[in-house]
Amino acid sequence: MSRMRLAAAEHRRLRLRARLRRELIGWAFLGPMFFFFVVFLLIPVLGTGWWSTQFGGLTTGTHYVGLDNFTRLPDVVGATVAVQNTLLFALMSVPLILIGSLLIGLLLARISRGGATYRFLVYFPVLVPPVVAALIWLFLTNVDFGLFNEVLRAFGAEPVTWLGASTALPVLAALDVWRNVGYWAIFFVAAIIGLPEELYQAASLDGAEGFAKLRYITIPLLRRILLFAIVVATIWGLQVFDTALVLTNGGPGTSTTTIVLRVWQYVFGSNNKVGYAAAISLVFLVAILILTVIQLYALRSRRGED
Amino acid sequence: MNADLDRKTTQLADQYLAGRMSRRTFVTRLLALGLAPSAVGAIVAACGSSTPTPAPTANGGTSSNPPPSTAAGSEMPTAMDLKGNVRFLVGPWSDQEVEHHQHIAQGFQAIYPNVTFDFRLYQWDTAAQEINTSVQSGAHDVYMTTESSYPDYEASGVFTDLTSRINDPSFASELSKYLYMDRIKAYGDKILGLPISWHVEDAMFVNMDMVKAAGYDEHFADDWDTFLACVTKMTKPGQTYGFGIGIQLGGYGEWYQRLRAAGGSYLTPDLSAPNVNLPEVVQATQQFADLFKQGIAPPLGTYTYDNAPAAFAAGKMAIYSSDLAATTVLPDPVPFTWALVPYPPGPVSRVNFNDLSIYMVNAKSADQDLMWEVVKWWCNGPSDAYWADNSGTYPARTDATDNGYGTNAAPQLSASFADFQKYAVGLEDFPAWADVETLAEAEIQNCYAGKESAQDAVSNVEKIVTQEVGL
Amino acid sequence: MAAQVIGRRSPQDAAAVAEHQRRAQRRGRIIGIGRHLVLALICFILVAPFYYVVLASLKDSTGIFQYPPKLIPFPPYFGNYERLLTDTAFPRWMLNTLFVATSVTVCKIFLDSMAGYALAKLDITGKRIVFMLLLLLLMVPFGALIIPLWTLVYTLGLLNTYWALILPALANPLGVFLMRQFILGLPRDLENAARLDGVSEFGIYWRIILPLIKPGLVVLAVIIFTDQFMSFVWPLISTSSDDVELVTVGVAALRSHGGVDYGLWSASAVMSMIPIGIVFFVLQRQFLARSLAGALKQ
Repeated sequence: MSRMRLAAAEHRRLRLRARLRRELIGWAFLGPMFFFFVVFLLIPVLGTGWWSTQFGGLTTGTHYVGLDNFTRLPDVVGATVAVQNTLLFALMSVPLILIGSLLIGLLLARISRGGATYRFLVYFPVLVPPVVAALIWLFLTNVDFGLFNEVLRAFGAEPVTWLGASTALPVLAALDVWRNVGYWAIFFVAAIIGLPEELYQAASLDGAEGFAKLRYITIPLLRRILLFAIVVATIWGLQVFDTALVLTNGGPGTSTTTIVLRVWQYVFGSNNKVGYAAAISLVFLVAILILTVIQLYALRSRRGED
Repeated sequence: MNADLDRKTTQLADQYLAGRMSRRTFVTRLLALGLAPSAVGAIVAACGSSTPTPAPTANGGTSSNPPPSTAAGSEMPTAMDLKGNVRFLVGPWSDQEVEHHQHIAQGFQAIYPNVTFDFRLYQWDTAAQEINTSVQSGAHDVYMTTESSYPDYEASGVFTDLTSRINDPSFASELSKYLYMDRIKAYGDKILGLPISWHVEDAMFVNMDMVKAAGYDEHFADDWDTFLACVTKMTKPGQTYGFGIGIQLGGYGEWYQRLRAAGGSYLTPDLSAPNVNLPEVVQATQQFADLFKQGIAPPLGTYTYDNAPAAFAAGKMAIYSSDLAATTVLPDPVPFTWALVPYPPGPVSRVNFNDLSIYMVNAKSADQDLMWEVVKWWCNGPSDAYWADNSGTYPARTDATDNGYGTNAAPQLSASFADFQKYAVGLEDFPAWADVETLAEAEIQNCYAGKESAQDAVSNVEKIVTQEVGL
Repeated sequence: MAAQVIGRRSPQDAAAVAEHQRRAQRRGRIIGIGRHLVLALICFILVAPFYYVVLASLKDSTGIFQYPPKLIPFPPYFGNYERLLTDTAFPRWMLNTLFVATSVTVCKIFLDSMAGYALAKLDITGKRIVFMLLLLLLMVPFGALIIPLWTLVYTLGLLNTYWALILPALANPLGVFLMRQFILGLPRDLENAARLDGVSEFGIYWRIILPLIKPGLVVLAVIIFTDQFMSFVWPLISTSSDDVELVTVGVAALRSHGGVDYGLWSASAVMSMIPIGIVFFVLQRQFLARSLAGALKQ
């Protein structure tokens, strides 16, 4: 009898040790990556929160001001403009990107020949670093000899100041569309190809035409993918910086100053705005976290339907 | 070598061999004659290695007890004492900017062969950010900074305080040759560097042929009404704009000089309150906004700092506003007579904004002695004259013309030198001046774009001043 | 189905059906041609700017300003490329970029696959919390982290070094999710059998798991390599000198070199696209899988 009881205690200890060993191994694998994640991502996120309660310059010293930065933020000249510009930009570019890529995806999915070539060409702009894309567009939008105005002149129209005060932001959005439409197009192609063929055949027999098929079959089936694309494209769109800096440096005036650009200007171009920059960053971060959560929630709840 | 050059070289060589000139001065003078550094090296070598400079060699590298100064200024350690790598961060003044610095460096290296150099150019519109990040990370040693940030740097301590070196009696005679040192000293206790140039940030590049064709002469800008009539007449829709503004780097200094011309300033002289929201200032702003409305000025964004020179040369703008450095990138040759003219008067006075470029040393650099020698060399007579001559600006020294300034520089520069000095106005001495300036110009450009009225824009600038300065 | 219908109808109806079929086929072909036309037009719009830029890079400054422009550069002018390679630090930038991109890719492949394996198959307390954390911060905008990240790197004294470019890039959780997804798809019996045989955990990872998820590793490598090539914000603020700078930052710095030099710009734009262009051409399928990777997350 006692031997069995001893065996039970022994058992527990052995199991504990095995458990510990498994735990250690698990962390040995997860640890390195998680370490970098914590140090270079998690802690900076918390750091932004800390910096938003400070007032001063990056290396010239700061002092604590509580939540003042947030309350005074709307008054700081240039802060609200940056938010407005960024939202406007996303409003212009994201829908165009998604509609364009959906269109391309639909076309590309049904093509019998030459698919690989089209995919290659469509995807090419995606591989260009945003900075280089902006340089290319600087060239294209030149008033006197850029491609756009030369095309206009060939048709007998008046040349346009593409990077003017009211046209710069739409042009920036167009640049973004040009760059990103290929990425999502390929995305949709994969998704559409994965849709069940039978539904379409059944619809054809019932006499359904192209647009009807699109409305009643394709789009509903792609709902989850579309939602994912909308959220992710928006999140990426809101972070626009590289192109705004290189194309117009936030100008003319403040018409293309975006959130991240404004943060950069506050942090490195001024000596007393690091708190405001952090406050903007925090608000920005939270907004995107909310978007992420919405996306996760919405996608999770649909899992039962398929 | 032509006869004149030959004669001058022989004269110098005689002086050098007679021991009346140090090797350093010899090299400097030869370079100032325009000889290529390789030729200079050959000449010096030909004159034999019996250099008569018995400077005391200290232990461990750089010495700091120089013998009494000679004609060229304070003497310094012998050739072998200075070694290291010096990293420059300077402005993109001209196409061949790096080459010009390398030319100056070669002169230095002819004396100190163990010193190497790296040159990097920043961009004008991100200069502040680039300089700040670089100086924090100790990425460069010698910086060319603009006066606009001087009050900031005075407060922050990232650059070396060179006061004791500059005020050292051995440097006195050289110091006396610099222009505008009093301006630098007025900013505070610390003297952070030596000026290399004083620069007009917004001058009018004028197509004088078009001005004459419109029936005006070189005094067309002496009062506002004449000026306005002239540019209106020169504007030909679809062909030529009368006056291009808002082109130069988001308008640095452009509206500021109108503010000053209207009797305003960012802060009152005692720095206690904003001095922006005056009726004359609104009037001056409105005058410029009207230029856009009437199609005299090209819409913002049509031309930028980079492509405006070519457009001006092609006759797309009769006048355009830019800084003097644009003289180095105008196409060659310009197919008409052109001149540099200060801005027309505002409601109160006629002013033109100018500022200094100052060489400073990173406080983090290890070999401060080496850096000081380098800065002195870059700001000495021949180097400054050579550099300013090729970079389209005015050197900050009295002996510039003696040292060859004017050889390469556009003649329009020296022609208008007196005018620009007459109307010169600088910045104001408070640390946030540069921040206010950047934000203010952007705000005014919103007015030029028609997005807000002149009064609103000016009120916003006042708000900017209050916020930035923390009043 | 049509055959069945035809068999039950009269010859005239059969002809009518055949006619209907022919018309449908013709419509189908027209639609097909239409598709090709639209796609071709779209592709033309997307790719035309590149041709224009390549064109400009092969012209000297007088040719660029010409109107009407020459569509075929003949004879081509290579001076811009010469100047790019000799007068600027472009070769160094390219070297830096290749070095950093490769280092990050190699490190991430191992880091992420190990972490993905742990999350997929191993027992860890708090696995759910870790997973949620990674998921939550997946989409964090980089621009919001500039300040603390810069301060961290500055305090560590790593500004303007390769470390500054490599280390923060290792924190991105995307790779972990990808790897986890791939590894989850592997049958459990495989590793259980190996465990019974006495193979160490690391051995299982190294000899069994890794080879099986190789296609996933390639996709991950492609994603990371491309992202590194395109990063701009962080390199811009963490590096200041030519010997550490990346191509993106360097090319942006060529922008106003005291006066615009369109030829040089164009040449730099073309040259900066070449490495990724080559990799893309060779590994097309894996590149396109990058887009699909998002779909996989569903």
